[in-house]
Amino acid sequence: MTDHPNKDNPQAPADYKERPRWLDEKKNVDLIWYGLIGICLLIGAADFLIEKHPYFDIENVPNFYGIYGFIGCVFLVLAAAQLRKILMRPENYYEKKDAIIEKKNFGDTGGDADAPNAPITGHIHYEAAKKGEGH
Amino acid sequence: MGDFSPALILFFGGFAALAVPNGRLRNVFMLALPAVAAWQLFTLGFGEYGTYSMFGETLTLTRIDGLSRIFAVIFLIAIALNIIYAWHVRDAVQQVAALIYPASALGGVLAGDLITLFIFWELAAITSVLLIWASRNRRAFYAGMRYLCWQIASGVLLLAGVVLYFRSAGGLSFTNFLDQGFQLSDPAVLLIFLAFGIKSAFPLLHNWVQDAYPESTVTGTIVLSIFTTKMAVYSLARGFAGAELLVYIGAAMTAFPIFFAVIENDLRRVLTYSLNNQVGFMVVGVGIGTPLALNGAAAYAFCNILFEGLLFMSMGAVLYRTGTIKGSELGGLYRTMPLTAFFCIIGAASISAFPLFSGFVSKGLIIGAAAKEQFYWVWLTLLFAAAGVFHHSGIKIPFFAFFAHDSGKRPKEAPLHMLIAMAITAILCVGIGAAQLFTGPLGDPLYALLPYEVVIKDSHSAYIAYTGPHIVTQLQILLYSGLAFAVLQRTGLYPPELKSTNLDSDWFYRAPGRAFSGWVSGASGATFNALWGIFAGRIHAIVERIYAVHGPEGQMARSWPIGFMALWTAVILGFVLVIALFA
Repeated sequence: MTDHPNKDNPQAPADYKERPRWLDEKKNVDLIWYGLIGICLLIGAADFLIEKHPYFDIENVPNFYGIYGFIGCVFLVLAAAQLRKILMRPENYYEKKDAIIEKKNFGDTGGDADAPNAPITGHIHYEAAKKGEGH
Repeated sequence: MGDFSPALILFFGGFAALAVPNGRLRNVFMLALPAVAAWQLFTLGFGEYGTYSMFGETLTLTRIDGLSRIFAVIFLIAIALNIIYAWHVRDAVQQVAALIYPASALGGVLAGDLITLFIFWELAAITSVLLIWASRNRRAFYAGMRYLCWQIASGVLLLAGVVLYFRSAGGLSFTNFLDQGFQLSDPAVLLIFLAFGIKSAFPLLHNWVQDAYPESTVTGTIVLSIFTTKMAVYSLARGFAGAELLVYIGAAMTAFPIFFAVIENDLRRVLTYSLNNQVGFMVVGVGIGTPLALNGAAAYAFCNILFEGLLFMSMGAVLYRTGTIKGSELGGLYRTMPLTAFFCIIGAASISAFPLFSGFVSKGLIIGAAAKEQFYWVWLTLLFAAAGVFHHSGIKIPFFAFFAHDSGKRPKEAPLHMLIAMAITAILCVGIGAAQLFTGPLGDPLYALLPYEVVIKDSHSAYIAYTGPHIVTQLQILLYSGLAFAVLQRTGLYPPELKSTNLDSDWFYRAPGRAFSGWVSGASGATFNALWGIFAGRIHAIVERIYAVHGPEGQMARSWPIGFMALWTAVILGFVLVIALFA
């Protein structure tokens, strides 16, 4: 895909030794999780300590920025997950199409190995192209 | 060096680099070029240089003022950083392209008139595609072709707009079109607007970015991510500052790509969606058009080139070491690539605008300007987008590459030169972000470069980044966004990284559009064949008839040479007629 990936990396570095990491333990991950909740509570409470200069009324809602950020991100992720149902295709979706068109126009040029003979449904012209029709 | 253009120093220097033996010597030579260009930029100072004449118009090769200077400076810094990052590259195509393409973009930024802009606009298109094709594979070839179609379309629109503009304005100066009394709906200005819109990747004109950039090489993608879109932002700021439509276009740009970024598996492609989102902030700033907003757009472009570049660099290092950049195949790399992970997190913190990082002192100007000018919904959209940036660039990129589940991959740390490039970029990110703590807003070195004077009227001016409310509200939005990520991860609601292609607007021309054009070419070919069959049959009959009458054995050939000459005279006459018809 790109210029000489992995050229000097057969696998791990020669001097590398696998050792347990702090993050490997679940209780430490939990620690981060509770720490994050604690910090969020603190920064939410800090809202009452600052003197705001709001441009909009909504900024006067305590911890508006925090609440908005939280809701915004949850919405973002859940909506994006729904978007996947509409937009997600196999990884070689376009390669298949390319390979079929190439075969039609130029004969067998040795297109992507995983692409040429894969069935594609729903596009009549591609079906025709696959059978070598057209022109 | 007189009035010589800094852009041309880089452009011709890029070709001259080929004469230097490939290796360290060439690298050093390449690195010297942006230094010389920077020296020339500062020797020249503000003003207009290198006037030349074309079509009877006086054109200006180099215009240095507040707006072009800040873009020129960051372009030169970025060129130097990219050369360091790509120290290992020995591919002459990439080496030259990594100089002449940024040089073209720099030429566009420094262009003092529309013709000069057009020339560099097209040069940037043609030189940049070399970086995509440098991957030398089928995917990259196709993506490069599609990229080129978009870029050339932008150039053609620009040229058409410039021609119409010249007809109605009688000049070629590149200044704010709206201030000259033009409306966006005037054809000339509209065409130029669309040309700029393609290159800054307006919604639905955006997909060439996601399509082509991630197909480039390890180092090429970083170069690409910087110049074309920022040259377009500069052009918008020069020509369309204050066009209110840009505020809404920009707001849409900040919001919609982040949904795609969340579900995209190729981490460099995630960053290209983030690039759209980031340019959206700048476009909003340009659209608002007040000095504060324009300063914000310029400052954000400056900072973005560094932190987005840093993120691309860290992902490039991952790709270089592991051979993949798919989120589904990565994870746990912090064990063996701790420095790359560290630099990536600095880039992530900067793009998310955490206090002490460069995004904080620049993004705040744009959001502050939107609030100040009472764009309520736009302001809400920008806040949402800012949270979303933290989510997909700030958390997703480092999390899925370096943490998350252990992929079992144990690659080496990035090579030294990549680490050096990333370290310098990271230092700049933090330095710019924290400078104000030491210098105060009026002494801030970044603010000193801004196109408009920094005017601070009250204690809650957006320029004063480090105030209690500013820090607290920013941390609120970021930390609660982080909390949302953690909650979704722990509850399993977060969509996993999956091997996939996600359809975007390019689908229209890559699937049905392509099928349609295939059908059109097939149908027109068949029609042509049928018509030619009929036509050729008729011609054949006519020729036979002529030959029978006028040919050597025909009536007209009693004396052979006359018949022969008559035939040829007829043929030549017919030929001349045909030429005259088409000429």
